[in-house]
Amino acid sequence: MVTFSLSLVVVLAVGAGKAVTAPPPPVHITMVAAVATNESRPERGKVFYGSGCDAIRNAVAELPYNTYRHLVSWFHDLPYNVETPVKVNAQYTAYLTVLSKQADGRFRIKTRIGERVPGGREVNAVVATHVVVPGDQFKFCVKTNAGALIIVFTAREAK
Amino acid sequence: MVKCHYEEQIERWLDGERVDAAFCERHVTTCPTCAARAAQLKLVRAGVGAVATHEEIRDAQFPAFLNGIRERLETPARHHYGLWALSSVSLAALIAAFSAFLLMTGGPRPASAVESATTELEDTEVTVYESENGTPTVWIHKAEEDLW
Ligand SMILES: [Zn+2]
Repeated sequence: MVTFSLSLVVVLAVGAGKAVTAPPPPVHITMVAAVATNESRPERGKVFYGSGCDAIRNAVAELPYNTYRHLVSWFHDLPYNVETPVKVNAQYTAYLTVLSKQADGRFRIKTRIGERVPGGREVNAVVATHVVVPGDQFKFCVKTNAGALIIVFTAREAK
Repeated sequence: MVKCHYEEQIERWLDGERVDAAFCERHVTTCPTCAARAAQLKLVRAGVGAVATHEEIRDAQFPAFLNGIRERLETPARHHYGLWALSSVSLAALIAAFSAFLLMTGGPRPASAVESATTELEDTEVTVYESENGTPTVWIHKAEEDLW
């Protein structure tokens, strides 16, 4: 009980300390997920972008696929140091944490992509940290048998 | 598998484009080719990804693509821009140090970059690079992928 009361005091003290400084403005994050495959099409060499994939054309330019089908789009203003889950599909969930804003203006962002493995458990398919110039895109590509799952993020200051 | 004249229309229907939905719905109940295609696309969308039985959809390009990235890394870079950096799980720390080096040597403006990337999946590798248009990219793929 004493331990509990003490930790409560600590939590309250930390909370009070935080309230003194104004929190930094949130960071606007967007996500577009798509499935990339190679399919034989009448127009050889032409890349097919399904509706909803326009925003990622530049980000996927170097990838060896000719077909992009949109899965999901998402955006949110994220506060600093709070992990936010974003469902990509039944198998994958992305977890985003904006860590800090550097002196040079870039955001440091941690991204964790959880994969549901047989048995229902979730394992980190990847844990990554990026430094991102506001407005820039960064992407994750998860190889599947038939192609790849592509997840493209952008980050900028929330308006 | 036998080709069907309506296959492309069925694909567009599944992509949510404006086509005759009533026709497509009826057609997949009577055409085995389009029914198989529709089922396969739905699987791909669900992230199952497997079913590499359909000849069109097998991903033969990936190993060559991955080797291309590796070759670019092995070629000594003359510029900081357009540089492709590569890493495996065990090299994540090295990449972070390398990024720090690039930062210290300076450039016209700070660029977006991957600081670190690791995986907890077994037999899986993480490959990291900045594409030529500057998009930081993290690939998660099976370790034996390039042995195909
Ligand atoms: Zn048909």
